[in-house]
Amino acid sequence: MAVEKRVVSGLYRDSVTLMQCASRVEALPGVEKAGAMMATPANLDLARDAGLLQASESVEAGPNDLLLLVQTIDAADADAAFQEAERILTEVPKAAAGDERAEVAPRSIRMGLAAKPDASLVLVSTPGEYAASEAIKALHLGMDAMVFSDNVSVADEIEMKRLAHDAGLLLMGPDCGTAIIGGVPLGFANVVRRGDIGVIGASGTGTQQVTALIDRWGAGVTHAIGTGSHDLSADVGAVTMLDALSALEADSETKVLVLVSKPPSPEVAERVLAAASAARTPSVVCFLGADPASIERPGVTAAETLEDAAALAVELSTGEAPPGAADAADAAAAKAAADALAPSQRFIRGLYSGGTFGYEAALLLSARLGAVHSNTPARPEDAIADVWKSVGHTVIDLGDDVFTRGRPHPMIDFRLRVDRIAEEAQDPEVAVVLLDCVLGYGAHEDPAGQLVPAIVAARQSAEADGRRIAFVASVCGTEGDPQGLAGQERALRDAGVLLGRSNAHAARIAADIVASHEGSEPQ
Amino acid sequence: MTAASMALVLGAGFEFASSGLCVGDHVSFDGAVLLVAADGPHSIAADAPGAACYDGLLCRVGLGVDPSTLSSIEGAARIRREAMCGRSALNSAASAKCDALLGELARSTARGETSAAEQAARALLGLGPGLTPSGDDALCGFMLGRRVNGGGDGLADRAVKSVAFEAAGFTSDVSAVQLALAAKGRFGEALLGVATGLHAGISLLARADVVRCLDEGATSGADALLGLVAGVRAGAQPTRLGLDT
Repeated sequence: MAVEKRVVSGLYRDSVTLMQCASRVEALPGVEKAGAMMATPANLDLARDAGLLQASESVEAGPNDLLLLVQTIDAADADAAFQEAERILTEVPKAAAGDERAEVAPRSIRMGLAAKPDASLVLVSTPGEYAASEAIKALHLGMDAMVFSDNVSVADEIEMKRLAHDAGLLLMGPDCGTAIIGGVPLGFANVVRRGDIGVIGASGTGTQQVTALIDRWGAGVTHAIGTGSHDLSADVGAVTMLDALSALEADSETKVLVLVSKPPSPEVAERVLAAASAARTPSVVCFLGADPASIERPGVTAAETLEDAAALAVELSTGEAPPGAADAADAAAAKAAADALAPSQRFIRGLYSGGTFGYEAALLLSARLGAVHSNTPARPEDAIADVWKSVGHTVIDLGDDVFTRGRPHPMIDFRLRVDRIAEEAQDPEVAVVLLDCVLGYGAHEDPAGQLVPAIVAARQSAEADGRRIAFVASVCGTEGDPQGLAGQERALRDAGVLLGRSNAHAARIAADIVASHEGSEPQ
Repeated sequence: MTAASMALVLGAGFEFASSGLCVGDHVSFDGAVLLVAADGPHSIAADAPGAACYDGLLCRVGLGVDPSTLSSIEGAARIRREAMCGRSALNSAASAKCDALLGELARSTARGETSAAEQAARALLGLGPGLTPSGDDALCGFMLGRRVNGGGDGLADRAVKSVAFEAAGFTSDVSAVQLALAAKGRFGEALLGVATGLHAGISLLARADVVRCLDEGATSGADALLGLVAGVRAGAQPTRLGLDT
């Protein structure tokens, strides 16, 4: 057994390299022990204690030198060990391989703030466990925070929101996918023109629908504030929605407010509506599925659908109601689609990428057609048993956790929806396939381009079986979006898709087709 | 302002409009510590019972750190250190010696045994693997940890700081500089983040910084966290708080 030492001077390597060096050399055949340590007095003592240096042995090295030590069975193995050690130590680190120094991205909020001192908002998108930690740091630095992350505990959410509220700051989220702050789209959001309508949404796609329609009808948005999907729960108590309401009420540019959510718990709803009613700014409130009579009060107008919310807000903003549906044309198109259906074709299959779109469709369809089976059901008893298998009228939110585990969201990755469209086309009972198509930042660069081939293939497959399926969709987006609204709508229309101007409109067209086919008059 | 307890307000010139407090003021606070750093134009409610101010933001804060938080930080740091040290006998011996010395350092500083504390600190200098040897990193963490629970200012602590301040010759130059800065109350952002999170009693605040710390160097962050935990546990009854940011 032999112990050899070598001193390397003037070589600085980080700790990771030094420790990898020792581990890799020790793993070589014939090597019993290896060390790569700075030759500090303490480490020399340590090596003596470990038998790698003789008690009396002096070493010509100082604390800035690297001491390599190897204990081998055969002295001949030591040379190979030192060669390997030197090879590891002289490897050019990957980061330094290029001639130019890479710009170091900020690794913390403080670093980011140092690089951009006028920043006032932090967007947090980390695994849920760490999101609250980062958001609280942002609050401590006096900045508002948008927490895109989900899987944040309710306790963390309550703590973050309490801190934000006490500091007079805004905490959007967690699970806040959409916001537009001062004209800047954040997360999944559309490019909408600036205007005087402020939107506060507990639902990402709900906010996208309202803001996109406002833009379509020539009005504009001051800010769209996301609250996160749990904000209006009894536990959280709508802290963010109430704070956002106060903030927009104080904003001199905001003349109209729109509040969007699924129905909150009654006491939370009452608190929010009382605050909206007390505000000087008139509000339009869309609590999807709630009784409008429970919402209406002075200064507060109830909207049944997201489209209604946008239309009422535009009317309050501009003094003119937006152009309504071309009802006659809709009826004719629905009738034509219904006439082409085979007798077996009775059901609607809604395949959604936006959860709120799915919920809104389920609400509207079930009001017209009875039970609509769904993973985002209008009534609890209509919860679908197997999300992978449609039955009767079905609406599926493909953005549900069960579908997104291990794959991107269906607004980005269309594979799941393409497969499901093909599957539905095989079902002889399917009359209508109802779709949403979401544009904007965060979404796929060409959603229609993903859907059209699937629609064409599904139609051909059904026609080979003697059936003609109606495809109905709405595109949620604006002309300013990277994908462009007109081009996306044209692509779908050219593929024979009946287009609604909104999700609600599309759902009604779908219901009209089925109702017409059943012999009922479209409503 | 309510009954006096203790607080030290630190940071650059900054005035709290509603309270008239300036950074640098000693202020009164009922049963809690007030720490005011220089960030953010937040007013504070100085009469809130059992509350304190962290980075200018009012928090619910009690004295003392949740022991389970310390245990989980310690566990994570040990896992990281073991993973990085591999099977190297020399590294393992260094870790074991480092732990023993850290234990001795904690015991002696908590008891105010100046000479023993100085000796343990000196033995940690330059000990173990890494460009900044493990013992140095642990010592840095320890000095910060002592401050979290309001210690860090006794004679034994001062002796430890002098050892750290004059580490040149006992360790690499890089590490000696880091130790000198730590002795002066200057720490890396992530480690300071963990300490302030612990101090503020918001364990979740520390979570992300613990992860960030563990990613520093091979075992540097882990060693510093182990030192920090030892320092916090060795914290005496709070007498004074000070964190330079």
